Amino acid sequence: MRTRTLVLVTGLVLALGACSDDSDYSGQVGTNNGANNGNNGANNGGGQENNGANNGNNGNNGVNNGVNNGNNGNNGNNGPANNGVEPVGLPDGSACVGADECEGGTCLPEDDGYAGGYCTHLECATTGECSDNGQCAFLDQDREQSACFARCDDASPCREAYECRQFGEVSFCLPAEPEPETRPDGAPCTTRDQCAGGVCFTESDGFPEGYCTTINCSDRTDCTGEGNACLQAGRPNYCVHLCESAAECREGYICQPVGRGQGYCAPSPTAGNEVPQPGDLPFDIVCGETLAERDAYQGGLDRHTFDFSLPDGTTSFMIVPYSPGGQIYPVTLQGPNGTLNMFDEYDFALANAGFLINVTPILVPQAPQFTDFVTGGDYTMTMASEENLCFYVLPKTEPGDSIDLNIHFVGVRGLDAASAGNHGGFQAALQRFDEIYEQAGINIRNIRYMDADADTTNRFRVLRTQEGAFQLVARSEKPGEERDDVLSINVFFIDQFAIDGGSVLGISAGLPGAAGFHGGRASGLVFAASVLSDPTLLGQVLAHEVGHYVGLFHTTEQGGRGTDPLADTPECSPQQWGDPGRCPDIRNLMFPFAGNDHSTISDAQAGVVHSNPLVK
Amino acid sequence: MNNHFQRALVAVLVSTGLLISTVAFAHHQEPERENITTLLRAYDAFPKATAFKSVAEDPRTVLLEIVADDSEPEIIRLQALDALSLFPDADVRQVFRKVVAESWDHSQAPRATHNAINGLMFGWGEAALDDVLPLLSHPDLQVRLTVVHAVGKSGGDAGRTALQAQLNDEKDPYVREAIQIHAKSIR
Ligand SMILES: [Zn+2]
Repeated sequence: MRTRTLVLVTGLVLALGACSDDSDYSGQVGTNNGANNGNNGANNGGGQENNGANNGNNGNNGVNNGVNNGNNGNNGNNGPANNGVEPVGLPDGSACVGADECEGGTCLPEDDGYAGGYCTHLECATTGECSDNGQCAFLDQDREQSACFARCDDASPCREAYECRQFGEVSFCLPAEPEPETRPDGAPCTTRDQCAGGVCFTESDGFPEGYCTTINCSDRTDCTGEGNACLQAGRPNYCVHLCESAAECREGYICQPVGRGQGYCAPSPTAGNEVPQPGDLPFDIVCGETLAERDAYQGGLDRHTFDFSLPDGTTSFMIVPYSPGGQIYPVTLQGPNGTLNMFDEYDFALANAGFLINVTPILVPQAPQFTDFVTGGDYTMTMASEENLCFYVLPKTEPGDSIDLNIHFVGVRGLDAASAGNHGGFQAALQRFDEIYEQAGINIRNIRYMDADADTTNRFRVLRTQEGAFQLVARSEKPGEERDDVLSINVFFIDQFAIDGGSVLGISAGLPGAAGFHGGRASGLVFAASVLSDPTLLGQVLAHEVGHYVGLFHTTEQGGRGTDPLADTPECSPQQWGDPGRCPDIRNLMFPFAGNDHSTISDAQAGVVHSNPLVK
Repeated sequence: MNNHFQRALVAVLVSTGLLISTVAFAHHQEPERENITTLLRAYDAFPKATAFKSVAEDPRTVLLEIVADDSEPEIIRLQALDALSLFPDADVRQVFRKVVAESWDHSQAPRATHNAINGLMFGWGEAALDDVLPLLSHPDLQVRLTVVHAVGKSGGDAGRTALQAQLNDEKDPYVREAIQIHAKSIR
């Protein structure tokens, strides 16, 4: 038996048991259940003409006035009006002031939400106890209090302030529920009717779970709800929910700054990103229920755990956890030889979370001191995440000696896929790249040259924000179906960076990037043709950014504010930064400033590079 | 070196009383210039003004030298333009203005145009709108996009209002979209 429960505005609960045959309503309150269903229709509305003639069949939904005797196996002649005597007083559902006006002897009061009062028979056991038009039903979920309500249909509508509500095949008059409250700007929605502002930006518009708004606003007085204001966005202006941090926004939204310390809840740039599903890549992808604990973990995110196994002989691996759109963080990685804590000894693995948002590739080992952690066997990864995760793992048993590049030309002046193979400067840059990685026994094996489409070119040939780099690499596509194809590095060669406050020479979307993952925020690196006039420097920049992408950090951060986790790379103290030329690591490839002879790779750095599955 | 770029720069520097040769520069003290150049080669994070000040007594003058030196790689001179926006004064503003002015000679503007637009808006904010907003009718789509981005970010309410008004004239869908993204403000 299913039970439908309706909470009335009065605070009363109307519980209507519904057996598999929903027509058997009065059966819930009386004892006229079971075999008496047959002729309900014929008994309805017939009023007293049916009196005395209902024997054996009148069961339940009929009015059953009069003579229910002897045939129902039940309560028989309950109710004051059921003994062949004309009922006295107003029938169920009538307006009333006092109980004595009502046939059933009870007037449900206005204070309980029955506008104008409501005549009823309280504690009815069967519908037969009700007025001709009455229907016996429970008032409460525990089925302890019952009452008769006036039935209704098109021909017998309810009086004002009441509505005809259907329960199975029976409808009766109940106090009208107030109009459902509409939602303020910024609230979730699926249809415009739900929104006080009359507009719902839906999922298909890029707003996760919808976004109520008011359009064509002039200022915040046009907006609905607290803490909302008018976003002057051109055409149309629309109302948004204000925020100071992402914590004030719903899942799938960020707090988008708009100046003067103000921000508004806007869809996360990763929301709606398509991510690889099982079968999309030539290795096992696991997606599904990974939630272990809700609202109990890092940053208020949920704790997700998942298990995986590595084959015997594994010397290094990359694990790539990702979600469709929300923020994720690695927390711990437990293996046969211990646990790596991403908030302690392996905290450099958190570097990705800050800008990659929904994908955090983790390379193990990313420094020689973690080499012993890696072995064949069973592992458990713990993540903090808003949503369920997918992940894949790429183990390595051999160091490898080559890499493959997919070079995308994005509106570079005088250089494209067709001319790159014969472009002296560009080829000289690639040669310089090869010379640098030769120190680690690594060479470029395959290069695929591609031209970006017109839309990508128009949007990204001049990059004006670092965020634009992540959006650009997210336009990559896997270059083939085989494992060897997808384990390749996307390199986007744009015409120019133009970031106000100071540009950059290149950007790696990941430290490390996500091996094998094409089409996401961690799917490549970007550098600019404005360096092309100096091919040696261009090769240097490419080598440096690839170094980041395969897992290398700066030997020392600018100003001496941090160093890599490698013991054999020199470090530059804050005092030495007054004259960077004196920094002992200036000749290293991963020194944060380029120079034509800043190219050395230490043994530990070579080890990190070889641990990456992109080196094959 | 781009000729327009160089002419503009020389004209500015001469007009401000600095004796600059387009052929041979009296270089600043070599260690300072070398360190400044090193900072301009930052791979992935542009140094702050304090970093430039920590390696040179007068970074602005060194940067002006580098911008005008056609023996430097283009990328270093572009980075030097960016760095000049950290040291805004009348001379620097004139450099940016001249670069912007020269951009009209090209259907595809020199790369320095973007750095100059950013430099003006980053260094002077709303006060630079008169220099930058005319570029909203530049034939180079990328120049218009840079203007929208820089004005939207640093041009204040006046800038955003001007960008929104531009929707009446702008036909290009990329620029229109950029205005709707970057010209936002909240009232
Ligand atoms: Zn770097």
